[in-house]
Parts: sequence; structure tokens; C-alpha cells
Amino acid sequence: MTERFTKFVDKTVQQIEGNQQEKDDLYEELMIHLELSKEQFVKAGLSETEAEKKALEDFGEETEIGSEIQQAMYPYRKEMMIVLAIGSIIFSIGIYLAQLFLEGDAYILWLVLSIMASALLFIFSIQSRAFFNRRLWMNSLLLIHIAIYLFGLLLTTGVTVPSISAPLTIFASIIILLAIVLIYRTTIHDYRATDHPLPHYAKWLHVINMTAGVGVIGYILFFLWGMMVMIGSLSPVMVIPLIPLLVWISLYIWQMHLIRKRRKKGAYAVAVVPMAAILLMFWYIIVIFIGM
Amino acid sequence: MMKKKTIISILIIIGLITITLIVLGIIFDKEEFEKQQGRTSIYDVSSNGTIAYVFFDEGNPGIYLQSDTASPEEPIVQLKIDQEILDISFSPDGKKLAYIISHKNKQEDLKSAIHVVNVETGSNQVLFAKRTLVTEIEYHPTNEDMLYYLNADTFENYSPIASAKPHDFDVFSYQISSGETKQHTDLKKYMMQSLRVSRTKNTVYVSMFDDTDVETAEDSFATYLRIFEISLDDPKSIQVVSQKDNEQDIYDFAVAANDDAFIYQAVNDTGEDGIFQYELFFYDRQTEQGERFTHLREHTTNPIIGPDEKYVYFVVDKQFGSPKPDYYLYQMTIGGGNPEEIPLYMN
Repeated sequence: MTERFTKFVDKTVQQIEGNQQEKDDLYEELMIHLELSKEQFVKAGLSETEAEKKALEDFGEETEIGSEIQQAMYPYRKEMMIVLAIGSIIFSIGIYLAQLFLEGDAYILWLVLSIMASALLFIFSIQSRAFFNRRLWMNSLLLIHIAIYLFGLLLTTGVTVPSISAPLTIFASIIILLAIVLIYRTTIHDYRATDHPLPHYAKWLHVINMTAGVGVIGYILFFLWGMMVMIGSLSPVMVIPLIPLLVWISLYIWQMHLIRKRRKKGAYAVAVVPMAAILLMFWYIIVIFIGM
Repeated sequence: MMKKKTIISILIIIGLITITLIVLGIIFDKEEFEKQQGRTSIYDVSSNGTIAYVFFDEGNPGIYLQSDTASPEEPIVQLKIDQEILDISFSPDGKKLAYIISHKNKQEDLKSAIHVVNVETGSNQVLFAKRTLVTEIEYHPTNEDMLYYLNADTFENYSPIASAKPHDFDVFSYQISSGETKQHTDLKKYMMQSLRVSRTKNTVYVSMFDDTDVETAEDSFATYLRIFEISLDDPKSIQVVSQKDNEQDIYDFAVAANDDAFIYQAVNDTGEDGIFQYELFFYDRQTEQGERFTHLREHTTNPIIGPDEKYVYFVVDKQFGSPKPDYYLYQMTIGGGNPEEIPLYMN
């Protein structure tokens, strides 16, 4: 194994978004490929150094190769992320200006939070390095993004000009949907074996909890909005709807702890709680509000 | 792969746009009280047919007159942006107009002042001020020396999940010549509205919850807003005078000149959008029969029976249920027929 090859493969693998095991596998594959190529060139009569250079030349530019491998492993993931980030920034500016000039309300804090979340997504989407590899961070950011843009969706309903409110509502819905799709992609499709003892079970627990998480955030925002309408200002009582969030986080951590200890039944039994709560809420909304 | 410089440039541009938006937000953000614009549901019709109505001009409330002689674009009363006009009432001869001023932020500064403006000369007089909230005012229909009003002692939220509202209501009167204030009831009602003064008897009418038999919290949910007659000679004599078995809340109403009928506002139906539709109903006190008066399928409110009992005036909020109401004034002959919109100058 030469220093030249090591450097090259290191740089290539850095372009790939994946866990350590995936990277190690890829590293090994690339090294074997380069070594075989080098051997062929040596057999053809080149010196060791020349054969190395020729093998690398044949292989191509490391960053380009990395990007191509990334695209092959996670097709259109980067593009989806960029679309989500740019779309979110455009929406944030649009709804902020609509609220400001049509309703006289400046949602400065929301603007700053939403632009920050979207800018982070943008950075993550073009820089597939460092902690981008950590799916936990990626999914957490996407969940925060969904929460912020669910509030953005509520803001669209506050615009009293229907010709502006309607397209913004559709825009916000598409953003939220795309973020949800990316969460599922990250969790299901892009989830590969790690050092976890039961990766398959852990994956489905993540799916269940992410679904519950989207529901819990929606529930919290709905109740906070309702309370804002009724009370008209911020009040300490608004902390109450945040309790389900704490319950959801605690149950999620508990399940992950149980599954790591190979206690499948226990973990799934706990997972039933948030899902049952979400289904109950869904039923309540359909029966009570829509009257079906 | 995007170069570092390009990424930093993009982030700087995003940052600059955000800072520009924040600056715009600080400049153009409006307080709630600055946002009020356009017509309100507050109006009155004088004995000579003049219409007075409250209109917000970029948050500043004003009273405008619509008649053959008044200049419609000039407010007869114009208040500061942090003030609000809660109710207006013409004197029996139509020459004076009483109105209530309060602060828009009632929780911070609970007080009301009752003024009278001469509609011909524009001269203004403060009658009295209180550290409570006067929500409605009504001249006696035949005695221009007497004003009646609803007084709420508090303005607060009784529950942490409810917005602040006036509570502890009672009926008061004020004699202009002597400056004497008289408290007629001692009910401290949670809610009392639509004060009407009888032309023929020494009584007033109000809308309140019919909660005399309420013992438990569940009972209170089964009560309805009804029209009550309160005798001013014996204020303890309070009786329901609207249909007693009617399962409708009566929010607002007008009384016919000889007290024999009411035109009241209640929910009639729910629209396809899930929003209640309010109509006006006619109730004959002798036959105890009620019938629908309007068929607009909108939010119809504030009925006032005009001079000579020829027309019934009312307001329709065509944006009811949305954050910005959109009020239109209508008139309709008292015998029924098609409602006619009265185009108000201030729009």
C-alpha cells in the first residue's frame, strides 16, 4: 500500500456520505482496485512509481470520483437537499414579506431561525464531510426544519389575500413533504449496517419514532396556535403542550437503549405508545373536526 | 464540488438578505392597534335619519356622519391611535351624540370616558370618566337628560386559556343635568350586552345568560343568552322576555317602539366552511312566536330600528371568521323584503 494511493483514496472517501463501516468497505475496494491496476501496469513493463501514477491517472480526479460514488450510492439525495434548502430560503423570504407588507407583522425571530436552518441544510448538502455523516444530526436538523416550516405553514394562513396565501400554502406544504421524504430516506433507504447489534430492528424503530415525531411536532404547533388565538399573547400555560415532546424524546431514547441491549419485545412495546397516541390524534381530528 | 469561496459568498449573500429583511421588519412592523383600518360594526341612526358610524383611519378611530347636511369625509370626532370608541348613541332629537372612549390596551389601563358631541356645532363635552369599562351607552329614547350604560368592573381572563374580556357587569344611569350616577343592578354578571332602554316603561333590556337555576358547572353549559327585562323601579325584578324554550343564544337585539316585539340576532346555520351564519329574527312578544327576518347566510348583526319604525338597520360582516372583518351597513323595511346596502362614504 503506497502513500500516494492512501492519500488519493482518503480524499475520495471523504466525498462520500455514509457511516464508518461503509467508508471502510469503500476504502478497501478502492485500494484493491488501484493495487490491481498498478500490478497490470507493472506487468506491462512500467516502474513501480510510474505504474502508481498511471493507475491513478486512469482512475480520474478524486473529488469527481467521490461525487460519482456518492450519487451512485444515494441517487438525487444531494439535489433533493439543495432544492429543499433553496426552496425553503425563497419561501421564508416570501412569507416574511407577505406578512410584513400585507398584515403588518414582522416575524423576525422565525425568519432568522428558518434561514439558519435552511442555510445549514444547504451547507450539509454541498459539503458531504465531517458530521454530515452522522444521520442523527441530519434527521434532527430535518425535524427542526419541519417544525420551523410547519409554523411557516400557519403563517401562510394568516395572509388575508387569497391569491398570495394559496400559493404560499402549497409552497410550504411541498417543503414539509420534501423534508419528511428526506427523513424517511435517511432512515430507511440510506440506513446501512453499523456496529449496532440489531440494525434492522433499530431501523424500523427509527421509522416509527420519526413518524411519531412529525405528528408530535404538528400537534404541538396546532395547540400553540390555538392557544395564541384564544389567549392573544404568550403565557406560561403554553408550556403544557410541550410535554408530549419530552415524552416522545424519552420514549425514543428508552427504545434505542432497549434495542441495543437486544430486548426487541420491550423496545417494540414502548414504540407502540407514541404510535397509538398519533393514531388516536389522527382519529380525533378526522372524527371531531371533519365529522367523518 | 463547489469551491469554498463560492459557498462563503453564497452564505454572505444570504446573510445580507436576512439583515435587509430584519431592517425592513423593524421599520414596517405595526403594533396591533396601528393595524385597525376601515369600518367597524359601531353605528347609530338618529331620529332624523342621520347615520353616525365609527371608522378607523390607520388605527385612529373617528366618528363620521352621513346625512344630507354633514360633510361625509370629515370626522366629527377623531381620536388618538391608542384609543378606541366602544359605542355611540344619538340623543332623542338627534342633535347630540354620546360616545365611550377607552384605551385599546385595556389590561394596562382600564378606564372609560363618556363624551357628548354636538353634531351641528362639533363642540365636545366630557360627561364623566371611570376606572372601569363602560361597554355600551344608550340615551333614553324620550329623555335627553338621561344616559344608561353597561359597566364592567374588570377586564381580565377568568381562565388561563381564555383571552381577557370585560366581566362583572351592571346597569347604571347618568343624569346629564345633575351629574348624578346611579347603579341600578348589583348582579356582577359574567356577561351582559345589548342594552336597550324602553320608550314606554321605566325598564331596560339586556342580553344575559339565563343562569338563575344554575347549580353545577355542567348546568352552566346548558344555559342560553336570553333577553331580560329589568325594571328600573324595582331592579330586583328581572325576567326573561324572549322565548324561554328557545335553544338559541341571543347576542344582540332591538326593541320595537311599543315594546311589543324584538328583532334579535342568533345563529341560524353553519356554512360549508364551518363558520356560523348569524341572521336576524323577529319575535312577537304577544304571540310568543319568532320567525326569521333576514336570509343572508352571512354574519348579520347590530340591528337598530330606525325612525318611525320604517326600516331596520343592521351590519353584515362579510369576512366573519377571518382576522380582518369587512362590515357593510344595510337597511330593510320592517315588514320584510330585500335588504338594501347603504353605501357609506368612508370605505
